[in-house]
Amino acid sequence: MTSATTKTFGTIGAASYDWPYDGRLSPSRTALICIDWQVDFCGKGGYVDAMGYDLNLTRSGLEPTSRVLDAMRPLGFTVIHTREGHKPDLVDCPPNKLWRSKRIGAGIGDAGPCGRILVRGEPGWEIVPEVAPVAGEIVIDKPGKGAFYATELDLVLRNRGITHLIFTGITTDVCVHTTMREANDRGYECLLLEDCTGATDYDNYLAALQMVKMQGGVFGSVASSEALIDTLRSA
Amino acid sequence: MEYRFVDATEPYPWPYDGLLSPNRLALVAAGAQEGLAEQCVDHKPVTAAILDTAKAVRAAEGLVILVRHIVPSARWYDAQRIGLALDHDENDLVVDAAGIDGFYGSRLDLELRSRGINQLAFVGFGLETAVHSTLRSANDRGYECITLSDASAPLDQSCGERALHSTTMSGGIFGAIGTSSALRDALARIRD
Repeated sequence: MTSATTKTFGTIGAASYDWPYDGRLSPSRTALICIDWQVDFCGKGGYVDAMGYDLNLTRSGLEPTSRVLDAMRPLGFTVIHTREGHKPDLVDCPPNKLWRSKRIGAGIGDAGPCGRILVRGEPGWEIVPEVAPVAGEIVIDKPGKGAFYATELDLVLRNRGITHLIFTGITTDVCVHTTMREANDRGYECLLLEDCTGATDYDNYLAALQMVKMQGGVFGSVASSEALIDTLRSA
Repeated sequence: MEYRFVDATEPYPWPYDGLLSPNRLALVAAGAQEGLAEQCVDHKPVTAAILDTAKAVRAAEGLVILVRHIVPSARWYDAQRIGLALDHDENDLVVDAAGIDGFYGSRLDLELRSRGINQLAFVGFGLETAVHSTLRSANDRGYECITLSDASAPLDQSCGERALHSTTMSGGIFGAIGTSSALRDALARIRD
């Protein structure tokens, strides 16, 4: 495991404000959060594919996210991955969530081409190889859209002294936004990488980015992966 | 058993179990503070729709909840004027939250559970901010949620429309959407 460097980087060009607000980007206090890059959401035969959405929209962020991982890992940033999924007996699945999924023919727990849909331990629940966790990285399993609800994420971040979060993942308007909203309410300074995220509807993706930026950055700020990587390299 | 739904909801007939029950229902007005309400698009007609709906929910003996957000963030600025943006009744519940999400740092979840309420109709100010953050948390907690589009005022018209659209994705990823008049009609049918 790489130890965090004591190095501090400058701000990243972002909207609606250069990030972070306190001007100090430090590997010891900052985590990269990769949300739900699972086969169920961006792989062939997964949950999103079974619902008939265009997979390219959720896969477009994989390559830039992989570049961000390559840039951040050697510098000692904490990297955290999340996975949405339920226990095999579905005791942690709200009945209305289960009912809705069955109604559209992608029932949670039902057999799909990649195993039981949205069930922990199944092939469809795994993170796709392009951005899979490496040894020493933290994986958070969540039953809902937000990664803070009913998980150990907040405790893990506090234990590490993490105050700043950089987000990648899918889908922008659902799990990424819910988690970023939860993090922002908890006082974490948040940045979303716009090319490292995607949604099943392109207009919803664009609106989700806009919602972060409104009111001077109500949920944090938005930057490109290139701006982040440039900042990390220029120090 | 007689099933009771709200008419013309999307993307599925709400509530999912067809058991609309005033004693299990709360109208949740998020962002119910002056500083936020006045920044919203169409806040006057939306205020009227919320007040009409609150009246109907009270008459049916459902609970009306007003949520204010007292956020310790330098970026939440003008909305911090937290005088209540809506007239309310003494039996209504006023909840102060520490986040843009009304569940964060508040007694909202406990109040709902202790009253056996699991059907939530969302209205309020900041459709894409306060209303949506609170809706998302409610949905993760298993509450059956509907967002009343004509009684929820966005800060930005187009962001508000996309927030409603997101809600209906994947078979209703954050529940259903509908109109306040349809909820009022459904409650009136139960009383008759």
